[in-house]
Amino acid sequence: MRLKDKRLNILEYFYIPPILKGMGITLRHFFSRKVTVQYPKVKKEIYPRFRGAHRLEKNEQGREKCVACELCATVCPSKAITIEAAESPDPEVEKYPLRYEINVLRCIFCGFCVEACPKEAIAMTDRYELADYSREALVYNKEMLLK
Amino acid sequence: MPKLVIDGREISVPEGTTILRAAERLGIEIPHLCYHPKLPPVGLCRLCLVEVEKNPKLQASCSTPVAEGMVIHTESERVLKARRGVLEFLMLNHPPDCTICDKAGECKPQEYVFQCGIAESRFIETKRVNPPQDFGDKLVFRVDRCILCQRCVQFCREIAGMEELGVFNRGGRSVIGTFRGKPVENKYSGNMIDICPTGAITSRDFRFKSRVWNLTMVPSICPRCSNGCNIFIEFKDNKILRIRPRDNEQVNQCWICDEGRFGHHFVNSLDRLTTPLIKNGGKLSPTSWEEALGRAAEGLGRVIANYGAESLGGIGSAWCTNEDDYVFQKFLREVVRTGNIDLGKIREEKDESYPGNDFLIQPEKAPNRRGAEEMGISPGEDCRDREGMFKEAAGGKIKAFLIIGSNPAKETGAREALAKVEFLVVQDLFLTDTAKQADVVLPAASYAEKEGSFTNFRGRVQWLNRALRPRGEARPDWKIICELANRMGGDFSYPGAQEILKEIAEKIPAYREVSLEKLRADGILISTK
Repeated sequence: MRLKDKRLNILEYFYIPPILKGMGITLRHFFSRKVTVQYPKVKKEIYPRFRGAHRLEKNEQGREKCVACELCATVCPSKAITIEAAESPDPEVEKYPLRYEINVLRCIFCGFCVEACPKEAIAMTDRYELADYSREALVYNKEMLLK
Repeated sequence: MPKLVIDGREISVPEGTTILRAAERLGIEIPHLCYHPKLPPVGLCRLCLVEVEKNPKLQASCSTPVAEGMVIHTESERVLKARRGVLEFLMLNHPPDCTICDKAGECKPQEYVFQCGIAESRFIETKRVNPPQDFGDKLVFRVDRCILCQRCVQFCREIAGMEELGVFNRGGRSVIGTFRGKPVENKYSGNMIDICPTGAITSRDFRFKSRVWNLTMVPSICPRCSNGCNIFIEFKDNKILRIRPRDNEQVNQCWICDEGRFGHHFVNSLDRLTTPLIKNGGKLSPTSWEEALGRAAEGLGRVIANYGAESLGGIGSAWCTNEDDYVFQKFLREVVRTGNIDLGKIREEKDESYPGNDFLIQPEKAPNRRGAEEMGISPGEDCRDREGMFKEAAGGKIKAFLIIGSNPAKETGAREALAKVEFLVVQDLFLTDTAKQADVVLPAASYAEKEGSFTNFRGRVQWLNRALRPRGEARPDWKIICELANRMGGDFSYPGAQEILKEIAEKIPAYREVSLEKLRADGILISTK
């Protein structure tokens, strides 16, 4: 079977009406409410359950709540968390994380670590501007996470 | 043989078997905490209660022997309710601190509570607090986690041979403790870490090193003495973190001694040799394998060419596998053509601190003396033994030594003899006194980093599996010897230790029954001489 081209009529032949139609849409949006945000001068509102960079929580004494149970590291699907546990210098606490590192480059911000934590020691903040100049700087250590 | 029915399934077992054991045979696991197959049943934890028809009360299955015609239910509603209740009672004073407990993940109460689905405690009173106790530098005792199953007390009395633990006070105030607060000192105390069903007794050595589910287990053989206990090497990130016993009824049942359990740190040691070293102007400096092997082959070849094969001596090792030693003696006998082969000195230590402490520990502190001798690490006819070799070296007749895995420089006269030889090649894990005198030092892989077999003092041949990547550039001893042999005109092309084992089975009559499958199972007892 042969396909026949549809013959254009005279109006279609000059492309004028389609151009006018397109310009009309453009002009309508030109005067309607804008959806783009002038980032970074203007920032969008962050919702309360937004999952940004992690933070380690502190207890009343100002020490980390974390007891190095490694449940966050165990549940982490991208193996971004490294914990080295040790005997705590605080006589009231038995175990504490000597080293607690989150490799933000590996992290997929799923929030499983927050869910798994039995001590509510890790939370996710609304901080999302995480770019840096080196890979090393993106492995957050305990001190950075406690800030 | 009484016949009985457990959960609707019939079985007949020998007279005197307990219900728990009979159920085990059917593959039914009755939860239990105080019962341990190697210890006498005490019936303390009450968790193994089962329903025996026509019996008004539930029976403790760990201590009730079977009788003809018994009908037993292990999963009936009554049993489950009782089990739940008992478990709740056992957990009354047990702290919910699984997050920081080293036992978590291999903890029986944790498992049972999870199975029963108890999520919350109804106990609102304050938990019992007992004063902390010191169990010495091998064990950490957390008295609040103890559920008083008395396995540890039983173990000290029945297995370790030294009654060091006891139950003090009565009723709700009962507490496990040492007599007069003395530390636990028996040579097998580490086993209490394994048999304690809770985290009350944990290892000081492994404390907080890793959560147990992150460890990889590889079956192996303990190298600390000639008993050849079966072990699991448990490691993470290419580092051994702990050693645990592996069941083998023929060798160590389910126990190991503390030396084997805690004596693995040499593998992870930072002092290990990581690259070959060669002596340049009186000083050892790191180099490549290519250069070191070339230098070793050239040096040994020169001595053989100048003074004959008889001027070369080889010292094998009781720390090396059968495969290493076989290749080593084959190299000396077939490539070098010398019979000056002997075994390095083995440290012997008979400990008589208390009777019964030798139920596993052997005085011979090397894993494979017997295997090495049977592989042919012994002087040939008209050839020198170790002392003879050193005497001749001191007299200037022996000009070169190839020493693997031993440190004779500690022996009298050997240091002077070694200083006199023209060429010395040493293969070892560490820069020993002997290695410091060597012209070429080759880094060897430790027992955890290679495959092979050990023959224990009774003649049981058992297989070692490779757990770790060798430290640095270290290589298994047999591989190094093969490379050396190929550079000196031999043709040693073994793809792996398993092929060497096959050759051993063909060449050495006592080992003809040996095969990898048998060695991997329980090992095989070779025909005695």
